[in-house]
Amino acid sequence: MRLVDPAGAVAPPAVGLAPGLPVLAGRRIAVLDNGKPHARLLLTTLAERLAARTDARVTLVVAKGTAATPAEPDILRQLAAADLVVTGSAD
Amino acid sequence: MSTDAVAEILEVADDVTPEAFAGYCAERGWGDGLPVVPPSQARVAAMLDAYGGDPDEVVGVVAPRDGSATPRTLAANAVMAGCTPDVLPVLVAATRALTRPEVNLRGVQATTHPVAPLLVVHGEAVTRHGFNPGLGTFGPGTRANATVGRAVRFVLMHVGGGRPGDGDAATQGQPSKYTYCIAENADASPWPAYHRSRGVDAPAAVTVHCGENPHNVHDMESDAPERILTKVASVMTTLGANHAPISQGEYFVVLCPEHAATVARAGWERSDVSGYLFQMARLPAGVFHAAFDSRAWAPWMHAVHDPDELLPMTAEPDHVRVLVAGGAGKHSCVVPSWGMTRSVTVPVEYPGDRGGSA
Repeated sequence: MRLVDPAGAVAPPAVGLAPGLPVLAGRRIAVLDNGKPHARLLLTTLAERLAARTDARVTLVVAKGTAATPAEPDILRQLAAADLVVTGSAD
Repeated sequence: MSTDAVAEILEVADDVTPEAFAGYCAERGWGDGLPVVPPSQARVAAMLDAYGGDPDEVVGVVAPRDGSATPRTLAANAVMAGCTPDVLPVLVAATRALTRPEVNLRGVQATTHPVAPLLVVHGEAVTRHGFNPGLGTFGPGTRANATVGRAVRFVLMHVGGGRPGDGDAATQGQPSKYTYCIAENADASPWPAYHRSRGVDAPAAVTVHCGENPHNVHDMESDAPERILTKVASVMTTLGANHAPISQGEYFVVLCPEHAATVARAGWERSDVSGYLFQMARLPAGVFHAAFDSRAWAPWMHAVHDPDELLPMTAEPDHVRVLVAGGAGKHSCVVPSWGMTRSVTVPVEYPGDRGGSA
């Protein structure tokens, strides 16, 4: 008996992954707080320690409206000025 | 109609036993843990023949896997769920609705909240496919309600990749994640059909609303709207639902025919019910502030600083949606929202009908 796969094909990705940064010295790190409890503390601490180890600098800490929806266009425009964004997904 | 195009073809023995097929499904991550019907080419072909439309049209892209939902793929899921061949148009419409951006399906699928999409079938689709709008509409017992709701879940799991622990992070889940489909009892409703009240001018339609299991509201005594609806408001007013910190959530209030008749006998329209519940389902601002550090509220709610001022559980009366379903008896229910999602109502189209869409 031949079956039809219930999963179907995956749509082509809408966007591609950005290339990684081999060197962070002198780079600008932004933090996107996703709005979950303690996210700002955790992510900012992580970003600051990363900056201290690599001679980068944290230039922006910003929050999106809610954790369950994409960041607003204005937030994305602000983040685009950074070289690296540290954020989290979900809880 | 050929089923060879596009979708991956797999093989099992012609005489595969239910036990063996259950093992096959477990290996591939298929299904909900209950026995499924093998999605054979023949069964899928029969469903596509009944459908009559383009089997490879991309109806929607289902997050978070971003799988392409075509009628062919949807038919495979419908067969697995035990659907009869005629119901594919309903599943197609449900998928179109679920993949609308305002539903926020990626969030619905991936959240730790137990949210499940409630599918409500309206109009001619109810009788055409044998959905049960009356006694026991939420289950169990009716093949159409049970299997179409289950097919929706299979689409979310297989096409969308929303499996527990992998794409679906629901901490506890909920029973409605197995199947969650009812039909509107328009014949017993004192008000216009729900889909027409939302501007969908079609003989048949479906609504999707992503929320919790239904919460019962029991009133055996009242002969006035206020006593019944005060109980409904009481069920709506809880800090445990996402409505408390998220003001955009919609409540679906499913009134049984007898409660609806009592309300309508007093001259109340659907909008009167929504307005009354909006006014009654409230808590003091200080209670919200004490319970939540973070609140995704409408700006005007943030502007209220008096802790004793009553604030509504949702930002506006139109967020309280009212429809009639169920049979004899005096039990209604409330379906709270996950919050960061909006319900959608769309027509059901029948490409195979003479003359095109119904």
